[in-house]
Amino acid sequence: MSFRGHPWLGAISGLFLGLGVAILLQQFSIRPLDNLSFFGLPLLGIVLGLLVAAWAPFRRGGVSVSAGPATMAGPATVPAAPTVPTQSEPPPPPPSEPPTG
Amino acid sequence: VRRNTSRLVRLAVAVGVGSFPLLLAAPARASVTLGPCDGSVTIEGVTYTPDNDTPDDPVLVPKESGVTVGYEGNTGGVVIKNHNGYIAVDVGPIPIKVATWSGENADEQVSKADTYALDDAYAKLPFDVVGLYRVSGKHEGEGGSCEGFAYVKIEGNPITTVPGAAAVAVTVAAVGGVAAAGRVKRPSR
Repeated sequence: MSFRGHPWLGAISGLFLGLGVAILLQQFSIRPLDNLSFFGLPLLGIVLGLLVAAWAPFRRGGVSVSAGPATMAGPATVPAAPTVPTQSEPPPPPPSEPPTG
Repeated sequence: VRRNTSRLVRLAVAVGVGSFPLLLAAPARASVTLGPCDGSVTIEGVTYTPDNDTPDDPVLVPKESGVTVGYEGNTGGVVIKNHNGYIAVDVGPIPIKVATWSGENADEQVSKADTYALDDAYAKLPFDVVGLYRVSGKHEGEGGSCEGFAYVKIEGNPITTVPGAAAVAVTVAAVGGVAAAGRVKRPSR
């Protein structure tokens, strides 16, 4: 299984999510802390965290990322100009020209 | 020995059990896994028996002051001498012992009935506790042995308690952690 997100963070957070839910259920008198909720819910949380880490539905830093792994080579999408022809600033120079020297 | 027995019952109530006699019940009762014992507890006019052994039908312990609990319990006529035992709150597979006792029972007691003020129990706790608990216990010695469990619901608002608030905080933080785990990770170079 390949992870586009953060599997360790997902597993640990899922573990605590399961424990938290188990304790909340106990505190709200819905279910005691028996074996099933003590082990089952944290295990379910770990699985959930790993699934979320594998799916990775959230974009990083607000940058639009299309399906597939993000890359640093060029913008993934170009939300700029075609529909806005009246740009006041010229497009930035291409980054590929280093200063001569 | 009488002192030990009395302490036993007080401690049972102190952990919210209020129903130690329920742990000493007849084998035919579902909440008892071993022994000839029986008993009951009365809280605010409601009498609980060993039949209160499911999460849906727990012993209700009110979270208010001035409540006195009446209890009675017996060992089915069996004299248990040189006894010892415990009461534990079950957390998953782990019974966390909250009370232990031992004694000779030189005067050969086989039953006990008394009352206990819940305020004394609450005063011993470091913070308020509410919720649904599975409480187990055992009493054994020369002549016999009793073992069983009961479900106890301590009424109250969980959000206002330390464990409840902590559980909410942990859950919220964990939701954030799972969401963060779902962010596309920075590619490695």
